[in-house]
Amino acid sequence: MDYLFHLFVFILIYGMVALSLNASSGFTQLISLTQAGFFGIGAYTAAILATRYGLPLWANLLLGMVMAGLISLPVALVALRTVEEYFIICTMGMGVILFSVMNNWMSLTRGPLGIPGIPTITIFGYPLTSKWEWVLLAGIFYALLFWLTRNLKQSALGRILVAISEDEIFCQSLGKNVGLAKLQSFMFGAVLASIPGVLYAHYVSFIDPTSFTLAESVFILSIVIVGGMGNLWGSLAATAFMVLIPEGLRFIGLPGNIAANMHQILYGTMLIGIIGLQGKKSVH
Amino acid sequence: MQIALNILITASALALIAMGINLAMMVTRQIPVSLAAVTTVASYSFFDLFQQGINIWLSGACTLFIAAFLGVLFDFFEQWILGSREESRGWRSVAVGLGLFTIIQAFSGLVWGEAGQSFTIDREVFEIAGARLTTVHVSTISGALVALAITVWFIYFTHYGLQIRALRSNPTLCEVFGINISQLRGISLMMAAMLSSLGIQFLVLDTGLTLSSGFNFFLAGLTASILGGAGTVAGAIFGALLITVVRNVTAYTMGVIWMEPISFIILIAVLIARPLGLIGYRLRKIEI
Repeated sequence: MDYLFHLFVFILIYGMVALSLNASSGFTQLISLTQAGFFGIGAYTAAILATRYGLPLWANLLLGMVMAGLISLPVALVALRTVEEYFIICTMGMGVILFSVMNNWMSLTRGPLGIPGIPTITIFGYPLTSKWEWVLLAGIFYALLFWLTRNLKQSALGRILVAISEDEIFCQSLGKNVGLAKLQSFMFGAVLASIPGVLYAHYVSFIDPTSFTLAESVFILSIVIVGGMGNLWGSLAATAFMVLIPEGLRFIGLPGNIAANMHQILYGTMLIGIIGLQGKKSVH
Repeated sequence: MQIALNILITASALALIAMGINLAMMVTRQIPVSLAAVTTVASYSFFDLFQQGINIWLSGACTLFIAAFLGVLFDFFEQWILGSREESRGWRSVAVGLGLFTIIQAFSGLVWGEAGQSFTIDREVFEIAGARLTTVHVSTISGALVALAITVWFIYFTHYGLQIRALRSNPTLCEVFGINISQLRGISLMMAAMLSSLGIQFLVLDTGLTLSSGFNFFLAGLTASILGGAGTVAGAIFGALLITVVRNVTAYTMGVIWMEPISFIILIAVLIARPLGLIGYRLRKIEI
């Protein structure tokens, strides 16, 4: 049963990251490949503050969100000036920069050695030790992020974001501040991505840079595309599906290196397949 | 002198990749991420052929043909997935390219293994003004110069080159006046794949190869291409030179590990100031 609860926690955590990508990219269709980096900022902020200074969850969450928001600003500024592919390449670059910092700033992050011994979360003096308690906590955070993202979609800002995805120039001609809307949504998505990062660090108790690579960002992007851009319920279903695939392959008994490559092949195939299906649908 | 030569060697190979990317962007008006999949297969094919005992020059030539075939095949596949409508492209093209690369990289891992590989060839060493050069370095510089000269000749002095520039300038008019766009696209993608593959071959001969080599060098070439300005010949060469200088100065002053992040910091800074790159060409709606 613990194993199932463990999978639930992972589905909820990655589900939150997918929600955050939906917030920054799903409505505008401005694809970002930095989401794993922002997820990592949350995780590293929590890990460093909890292990070195013993700060509580709320402080780690707050500082993680501030850090992610500040670091997202330069990429958000590029978003003001460019559209589509150049922006994607910039976010890819930002992902590489964040990974390099996590991997090479030894005195702060311990580089590839990672940060061990991250304490579990304590709420009102009660430490979360069992898996079902974690499912409950992650579920509450997921519901909160879902509510925030859905509200964003239905807000005035959300309507501008959807309009941007349809026609940016037309949206601008209506007097809407396209640049500011893009900046806000991108930073909002970055801030949201740091929240599951904080939870992830406290849950797994050890983090290293390999969890926050460009490949992870592509994985998160795959979840959002498979679930349908901007479709929040679809993202949850896609997260469950994508997280459970490797678990399914584990039961086949493939050797570790073959299984890892098979996951990648499956993710890539699904990404291409879904885009192909969407393309054919839009043509008809 | 040694640093200047190192910059020249790496810039020559990166200029080939950037030129390949620019050539592909002239006709597709998209960032050709699928070229990363081509360069991954090309680097391993080159190594595999060489390991089979085939002469290094012949291995290189065969790899160019493999790359040309794959360049056209992957583009055809991407077009089939995305459909013909322009509005169904944009980020989807990048996502399909990333998906394709993910599959190819994993497949390469299954076939060739995860371990790094290096080329064991005899390298004669020359000395020029105190700087050391090997035969691989000389081949890289001279090979890149010849390939770049052929590309410039092709783009500026042939009928196909003129049509490619016309396509870059106005695809709608090209279609109206009956220019065979599919054929042009095929030729350009074939050349783009060959140029990128040649650049990768020169680089892996020197550095050895891993599963991520193809993507990392593609990314460096893409950074050079965007920095210099997409869709221009001069932009590719200037961008490659600039990015190599930045990387070498970073390696010299801060350490090799900061080469990649500093390159991207420069890219982001340049794009904030000049969204079309330093010598950019407006391929599509880039600036608002």
